Amino acid sequence: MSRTSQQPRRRSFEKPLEGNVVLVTGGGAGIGRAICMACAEAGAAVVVAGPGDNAAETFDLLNERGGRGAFVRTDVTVAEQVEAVVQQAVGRFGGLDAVVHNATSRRSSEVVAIDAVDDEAWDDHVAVSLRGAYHCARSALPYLRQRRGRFLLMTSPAAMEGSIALPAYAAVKGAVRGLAKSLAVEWGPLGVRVVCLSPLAHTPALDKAYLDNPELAQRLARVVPLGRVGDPDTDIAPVVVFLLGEGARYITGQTVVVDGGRFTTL
Amino acid sequence: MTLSAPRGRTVAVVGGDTAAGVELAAGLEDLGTSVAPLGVSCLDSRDEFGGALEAVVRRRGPLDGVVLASVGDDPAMRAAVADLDADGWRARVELPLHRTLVCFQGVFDSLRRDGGTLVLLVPTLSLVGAAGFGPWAAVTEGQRALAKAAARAWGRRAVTVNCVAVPAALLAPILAMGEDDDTQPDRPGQPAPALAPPDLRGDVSPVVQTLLSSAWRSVTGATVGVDGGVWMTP
Repeated sequence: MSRTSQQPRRRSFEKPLEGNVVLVTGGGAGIGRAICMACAEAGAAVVVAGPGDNAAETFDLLNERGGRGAFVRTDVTVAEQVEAVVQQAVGRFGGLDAVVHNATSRRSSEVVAIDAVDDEAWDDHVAVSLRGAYHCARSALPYLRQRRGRFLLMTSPAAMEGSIALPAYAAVKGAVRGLAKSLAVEWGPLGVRVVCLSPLAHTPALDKAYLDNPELAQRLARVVPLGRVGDPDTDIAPVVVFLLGEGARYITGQTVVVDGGRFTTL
Repeated sequence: MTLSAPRGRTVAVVGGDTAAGVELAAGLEDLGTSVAPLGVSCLDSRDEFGGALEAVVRRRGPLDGVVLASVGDDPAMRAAVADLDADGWRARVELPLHRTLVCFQGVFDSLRRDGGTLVLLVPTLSLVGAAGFGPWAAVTEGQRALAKAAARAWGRRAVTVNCVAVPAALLAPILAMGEDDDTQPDRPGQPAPALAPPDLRGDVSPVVQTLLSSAWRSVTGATVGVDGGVWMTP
């Protein structure tokens, strides 16, 4: 299922992604939705890829605000569906400039000790974050290399710090970082940049955790030098736009940490 | 306070049937460690790995530590990510990562009562990236992240988890034999080693041995680079 909209392109300094085609996986909510909206506001045609109706809602919202793009129902764990969304992006908008792989397992915030991680949960984490990255890389590279493209993978503080509560999530997000660093070296000569972004921001999962544990917000705020958890729209998505834009043309292979100063050990 | 001497320890080396595992085990034995080598394939099931560890304990007494030297040779094969088919991806990335999980869970079962140490050997290329080795880097960065998660979770049981990063060619000797630059995992123009390049038996084994001793009981979740001073990562 898919829907599209196209509007005349405008160019201005406020539209750093003018003329770009950006594919965003996991665009249905939270950070993914914020990235879609920001890229559209920056002038890109945004292909919102997601398995659920909320990704269609993101597209509707984007459309209401005058953005252009498409919604393509996509399960990133299925190679054929990723291939199809890439083909649709290229077919409808004439090429592909960037992929943002934001999709992550619905079990990402499920608290499980390492010794209790079962194969079903493990595979779910691997399938969406890591296998999904592989599917995106494989399908998109032929088009990204035509347009000096960008491949942005969302990782997590858990990948760098470890996490008692989310070990499987930490492992796959760490694996994503390893993949990204090598892809950056591998694809650099092709003109394709690869970066990771590690956000600390409100997500539906975090907001639910706040409801379950009202003290969590204060506790988190205390460990962030800037004193608050990031906002997907105003703190995270603008950095994604920057990383996809020409201003970041010499940045590749890095994990950009957007967390209010919480993680300072690099 | 007396620190236990490194000699006389009992350690299982997982991947002890690989060239790297054999070398490392020999080095540890040179230093007086009792080494039980375990084949990579025992990581294909939790029951098999748990049984293998139990058999070691029955024969040699409680383990002081486990070294994960290899999760198989597949990840170390050069392969451009975009050229890998689904089976290749599974063999090079997903199976080795799952073996890592099985290893961690089995090791915790074995060490949770009396404490101990898990040490992982990883290639330095996972820290810095290398063209053609995306799968291997993915596996080993996943391992390092899991090691940190485990280190945080198991510290209260006196179980430490650390990584030792070594030149890739030490873990996959076939890479060191390639004369064609395309087979090499090292990046063109990488920094020259400040010291002589290390070898597993003489240089890496003593570091692993030290990590297994109580002198390092306050170090966990760390990655120690033993590459002769090539990558001085932050």
